[in-house]
Amino acid sequence: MQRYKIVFGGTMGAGKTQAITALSEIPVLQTEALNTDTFAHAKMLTTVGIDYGEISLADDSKISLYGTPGQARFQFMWPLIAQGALGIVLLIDHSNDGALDDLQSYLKAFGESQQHEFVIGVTHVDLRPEKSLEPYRQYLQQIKQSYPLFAIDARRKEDILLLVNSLISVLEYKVG
Amino acid sequence: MNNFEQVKQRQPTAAFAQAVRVPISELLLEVSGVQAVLLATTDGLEVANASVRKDFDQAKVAAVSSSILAMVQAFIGEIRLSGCQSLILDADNGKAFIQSIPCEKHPMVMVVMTASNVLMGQLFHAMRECSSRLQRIDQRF
Repeated sequence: MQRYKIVFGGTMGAGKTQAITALSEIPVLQTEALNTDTFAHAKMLTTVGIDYGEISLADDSKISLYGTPGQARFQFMWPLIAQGALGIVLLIDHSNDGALDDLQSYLKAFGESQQHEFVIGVTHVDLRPEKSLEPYRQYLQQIKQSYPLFAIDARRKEDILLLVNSLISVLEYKVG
Repeated sequence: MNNFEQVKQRQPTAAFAQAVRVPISELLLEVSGVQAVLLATTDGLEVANASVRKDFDQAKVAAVSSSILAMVQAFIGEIRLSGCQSLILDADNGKAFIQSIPCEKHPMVMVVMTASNVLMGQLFHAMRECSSRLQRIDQRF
């Protein structure tokens, strides 16, 4: 049986744990702690280690889903967790004022030590309906990358499947 | 208490940080071979430290230690063990102890760095005392 690895990265509170929980066929292993960084986000719990879940593919292979802690102080873990991954699902919280900066810094941080394929899920779009997704696309054009980008709800399994399938399609296309 | 106050209360105050510095400073002074004691929130933010060493980044140690303890506790759960509150890292040139401090309001992680030849029994006793004092301080805030 083949096993693949996909890593979920991105902003604190963007929905990485939710996304893995929505998709995983096994109970998700979580490493959550009380969130005291209330300036960054008001949520009660936050991931400080990894989340781990799994999904099966039609050909009997499995994908391991790894979630990362979003805060910059945990950046030391990102390249370690991303090692050997098929690709990165990057979740960006659209409701943050600095969401475009977040996209830039997470792409840079995850891409620094190893070349990865990315798919980008923009979450919490309903909280800032007046804000366009266009700046993200313009930025990707500017850095000459054509990573798929979708507005998604991290609680919806179909939305997360869309991200994972897009990532796999890109990889299949590249392999030829 | 409104939501904002509840959210704010999760952050350790300066007075709390000052109060918890007393027992960790005493731990540093009382046990021979202890080089540094650091307290962090369980989500990896430094609360206080007492140290005779200047060769490490406290903020980074706070983040890494909270991750390590959370990962070990998840692992312990997966292998159907329970109640793991501490771990010992035994290196060539010293030891590090990471212990959960189960305070009700401000759950924390305590990191103790020592020389190789530290007396483990004395240290464990002092760490347990220190943990109890930290929990009593937590009840006051």
